Amino acid sequence: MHTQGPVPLDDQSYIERNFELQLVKEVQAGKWVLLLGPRQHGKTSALLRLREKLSKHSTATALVDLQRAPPFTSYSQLVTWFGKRVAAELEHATEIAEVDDLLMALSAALPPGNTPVVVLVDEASNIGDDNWRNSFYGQLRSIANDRAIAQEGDISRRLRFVFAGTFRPERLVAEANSPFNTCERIETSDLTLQDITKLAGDAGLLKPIDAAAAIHDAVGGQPFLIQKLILEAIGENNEVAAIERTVSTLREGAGDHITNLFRKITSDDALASMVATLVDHGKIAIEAGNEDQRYLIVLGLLRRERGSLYFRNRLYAEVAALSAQLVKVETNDAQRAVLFPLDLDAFSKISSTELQEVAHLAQRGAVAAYRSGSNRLALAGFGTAMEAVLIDFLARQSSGDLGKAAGLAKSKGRYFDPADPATWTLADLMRGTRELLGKQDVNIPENLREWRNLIHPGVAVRSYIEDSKLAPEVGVAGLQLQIVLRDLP
Amino acid sequence: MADMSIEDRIRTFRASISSNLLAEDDFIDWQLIDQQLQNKAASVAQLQGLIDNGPVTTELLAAMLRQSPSTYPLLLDLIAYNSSGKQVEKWGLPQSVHAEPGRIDWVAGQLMHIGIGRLLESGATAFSLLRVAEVHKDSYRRRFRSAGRLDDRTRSIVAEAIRQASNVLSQPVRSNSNALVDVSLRRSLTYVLAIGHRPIAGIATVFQNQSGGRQQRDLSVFYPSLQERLDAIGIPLILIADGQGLQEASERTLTAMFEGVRFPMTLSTAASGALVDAIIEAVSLEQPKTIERAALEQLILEGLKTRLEVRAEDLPVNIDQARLTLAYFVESRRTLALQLGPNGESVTWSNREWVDRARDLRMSFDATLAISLLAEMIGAEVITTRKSLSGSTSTLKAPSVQPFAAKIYVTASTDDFKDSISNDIAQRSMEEAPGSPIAFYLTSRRLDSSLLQSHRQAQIFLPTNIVVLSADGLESMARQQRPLARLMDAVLTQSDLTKVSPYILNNATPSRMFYGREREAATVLQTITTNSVALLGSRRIGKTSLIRRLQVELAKGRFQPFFGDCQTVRTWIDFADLAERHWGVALPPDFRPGHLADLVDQLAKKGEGQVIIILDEIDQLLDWDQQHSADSVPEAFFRACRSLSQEGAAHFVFSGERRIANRLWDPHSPHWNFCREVQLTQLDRDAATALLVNPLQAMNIGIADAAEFEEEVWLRTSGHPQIVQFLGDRLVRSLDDRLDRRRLELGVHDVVSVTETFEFVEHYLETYWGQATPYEKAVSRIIADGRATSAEILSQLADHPDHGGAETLSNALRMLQLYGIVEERDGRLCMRAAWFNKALAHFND
Repeated sequence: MHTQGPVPLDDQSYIERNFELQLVKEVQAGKWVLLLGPRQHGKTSALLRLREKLSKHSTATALVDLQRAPPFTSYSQLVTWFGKRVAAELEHATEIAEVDDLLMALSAALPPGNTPVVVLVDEASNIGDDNWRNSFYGQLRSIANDRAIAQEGDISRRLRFVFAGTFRPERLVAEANSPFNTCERIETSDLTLQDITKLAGDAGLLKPIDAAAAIHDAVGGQPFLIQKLILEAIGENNEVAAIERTVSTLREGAGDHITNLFRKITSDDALASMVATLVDHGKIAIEAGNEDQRYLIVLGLLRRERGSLYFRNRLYAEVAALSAQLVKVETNDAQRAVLFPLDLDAFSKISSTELQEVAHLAQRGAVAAYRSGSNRLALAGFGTAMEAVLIDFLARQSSGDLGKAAGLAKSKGRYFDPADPATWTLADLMRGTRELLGKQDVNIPENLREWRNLIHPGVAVRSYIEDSKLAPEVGVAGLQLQIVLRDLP
Repeated sequence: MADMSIEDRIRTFRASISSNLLAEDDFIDWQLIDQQLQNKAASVAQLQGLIDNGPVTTELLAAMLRQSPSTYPLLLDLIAYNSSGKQVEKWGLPQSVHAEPGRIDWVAGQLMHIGIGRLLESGATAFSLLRVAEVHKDSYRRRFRSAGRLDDRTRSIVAEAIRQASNVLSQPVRSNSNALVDVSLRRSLTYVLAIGHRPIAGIATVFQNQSGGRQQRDLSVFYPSLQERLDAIGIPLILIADGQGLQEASERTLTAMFEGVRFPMTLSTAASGALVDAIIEAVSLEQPKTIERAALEQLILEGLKTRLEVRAEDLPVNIDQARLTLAYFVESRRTLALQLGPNGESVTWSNREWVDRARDLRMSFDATLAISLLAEMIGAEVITTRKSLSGSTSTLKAPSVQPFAAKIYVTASTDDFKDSISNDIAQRSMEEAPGSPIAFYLTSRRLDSSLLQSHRQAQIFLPTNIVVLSADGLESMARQQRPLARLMDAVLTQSDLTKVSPYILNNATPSRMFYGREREAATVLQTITTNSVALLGSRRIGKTSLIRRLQVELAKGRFQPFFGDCQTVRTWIDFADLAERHWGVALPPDFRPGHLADLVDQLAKKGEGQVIIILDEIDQLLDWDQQHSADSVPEAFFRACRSLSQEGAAHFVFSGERRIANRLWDPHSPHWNFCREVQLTQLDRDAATALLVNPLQAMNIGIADAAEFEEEVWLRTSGHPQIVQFLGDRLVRSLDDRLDRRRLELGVHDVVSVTETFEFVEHYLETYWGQATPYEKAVSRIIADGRATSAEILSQLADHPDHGGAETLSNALRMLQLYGIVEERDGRLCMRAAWFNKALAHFND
């Protein structure tokens, strides 16, 4: 079982899936390929095997993982590093001078000759700087275009690329610059029930058929979750019960897999709204050209069946139904709402880098506190995040508007300065913001102030509620922060 | 005739083609028109009275209608009013006013409103006006009339020929379509001739007054395929083909027709005895095969295999019967390269020397000789040859047909083929013949059929297919009329077909796959001497492919074309980099639009002729130009282009999509009217069909029911070149799943099953919609749903968030027309992408 990192090449239990053969076919037919699939879905394991197969069949292949790129200070460093990685993978001893032209770097990296060279780019979205990413893929696009007129010996005729990752190709780079439009698109596929049974048997489970059925029922064919559940069942007398226990834990949002997946969803309004609809209706109709729907499939949350989209497995459906950030959750004692941290992108409306960091990490801290069972701390965290968001908003207003907002301040603190919203209390920040936006535009919960103040023992004792009973308030606070983030201009 | 060469037969055929298939009254039936006018003489006189007492007013018109309702149909004729339900509903004019006297005033007013008074002006002659109106009405009958007359003429020729042939034959011949069980075959034939219930020949007719791609394909592919299908049931095809289109058909087309069809003839030769002869010959050819005949044919076959020639006296029958049997043998095996000796005395291989050499290779394999034989048979020049311990290797210049690239790598060895050597061959092939999807391995023994499946599977992992050809295979090629066709059978049988699919899905189309666009190319070439041009079209519609072709054409003329791919050019500096890298000019590092004149000067000095700067995918640069200014001049780059173009210093060919279209269409833009706009939408039907079908033919992939196949392809692509190629690619790939790959054939059902996959439908919709906005998508859905007027569409869009009234809709429609999704026909909007609605339905199925 391999729940961390790719499955080693010598692992006999590795199960090859259909998309892997398709990958070889396309590459050896001279096509460029875009391999998209969810995280922990076996892309890197497939690339490692692709490299091995191609290398065994007279096709020089380089695997470059952009996630392993060191920090760079200039674009030319990135290009040169890439060229050097390709050369090293091809075992071509060569010097590559620092250049900002990818074609030149690759020309130097490739051994002489006419034979094809395949470059597998893993984690292809992992170039953080927008300009560098656009330049990098723009230069690759030029190479792709040159294939139409390239002469014998031109490297554009020799090169074949496979770009792998979990991303939106439409948004990663400007469309005109994108080499992804020139690729055959392949998506990773799930394991089958038969595959799961084999894995369970190979792992030594006593009742592999029963265990596989229970696993498949809960997580479908998701390779990472399957292996995790098999691992949890190993050595247990009642394997199915052990699997169910682990599924229950995952349902509450435990583990990086669920958190990372749902963080992407809850950080994006369009995705969140689509998933909320799916929770309500059980399925949504596919729309041609709908990028959000496509991305939800790439992320692994949804699957397509005929003309509709469904949750990819029961576990994801249940987590979504329990996520207070996606839907209105009716909770009971036995079942708490599930909260997820938001990506930094969700705070992109905050112009101050410092306040953005404060808000982002306060929200993450709040979610972590909630998950650890500390609801008061979670409420304080959400209040902090809210305060940072509002300070930034008011600081961006003209002095006239700011004055108008300050005029409504009631609970002016000791350091209150009408010209500096950073000195205002949260309640005054809320009042001022409401004044500028109009009450109907954004409904800022003043009661959040009380929740935040629960961190002070004196306040907590004054109207004491047991910490464990504050869970519903945490769910509401998390959701309200997201509403503010969505609606603030 | 049987002794004539094909060239002579074609010459004779051409000489007998009718100069004009149409009689003078096929176009306008003057007799009928005169008759119609005569029948209405009284009403015409009434109408003339109205004109003469003019000016015509609503009241006078109403009075005439009241007094003589029979004049009303004349008025409808004059305004070309089609009194179908829809028109009546829209304009309210009834078919007659006899039944509605109460509405006459309103009807007269309506007629005046739509301008009848302009026709009935003082001095007009009612008779002349109505004569023209009758010509218009007659035009609707034209199609049926000319087809009907040709049919009558053919029917009479066939009937007479059947009568004459029956007089000579021992049993009478009848036209009896029921004699053929196969309904699709029956549909392809105009007549089935039979003796009793036994079919003896099929007659098809084709009349063409012009020669385009589809017409040529019918002659060179459809009818030979039809003959092949008839061969399977042992009857010949008699093809009566005539018209100016046949006169204009290429030699190659007619050769294919004469090679493939047993009895081609024109109407006049059919009438003057050729059809009678063909029927008599068909009857004598098609005696049921007796055991004796079958045995004789087996003897001939064996003789040809062992001795390369069989003489009549070699056969154990009397000499006349032997000659007849030899002639029949040759006639019934038209794909083999057989040569009948004088008077049918012998039969031998036309390519006897090749067959002989291949047989020697079977006895004693020689690597070098094997390669040279292969090269000769496929007409390939040997570029390099190397000898090795186990054999020989060569690089050949590949025949210029699909799916070959520029070169082919060939290895020949006495060693049997083993998977263990495939890596080495593949690597050498990639080095010596880069990009070639096929390498050949020639050896003495054929690939064991039990290994065929595993060999195919192994090809998937190799960078090129390795096709094993034995000496037997070479001999089989040598025996064929077209050795390349047999070679292609081996390629299709052994290959991973993903590699050999010739369709280009994600890049500019090379010249070998370029079809159509003659009109657009001509417009650009005519315009460019005096003005700049903007090629507008959606993504993947073929702008770059056309532009590359234009570049070649311009270079042949008195122009200096400079091509720049601006796909990744986002700033003026990027543009300068491109110019320096590709055009060899030196520009200042802080390049600004003002430096364009200097750039053009440098380009002009590079040679003679007008400088033409071709900038492909200009939208991004246009965007930058709009957002930045040079010395406070907005859109400085394109202003500079404009002034250089107006001065004549250089002309430009731009290509782009939305942004350039919007700038050129905006009357407030400085670029409005700058360039001559050439819109690129779908290919016409002939070009689209050729794009799909020609590569399949080149690869020897058959097409069943070609006409239906082409119809379905057209319906499901509407000629979008990328979608056509995508379909072609998926059709070729679908053959990969067939275990038996002999005589590979595609049919309508293959087109249906490929196009009704989610993958195809998604591709179809995304390609057509391209960068369409949500509003444009909504508009296209509404039109696909059957709404045909702006008012209807606007009413459906009332709740759309981008709803912006008539102007917004008009802009959206213009863009959707550019995308080839919708079009306006007779004032109504409809889908140009005809399968769009079905695609939407399949998508959500």
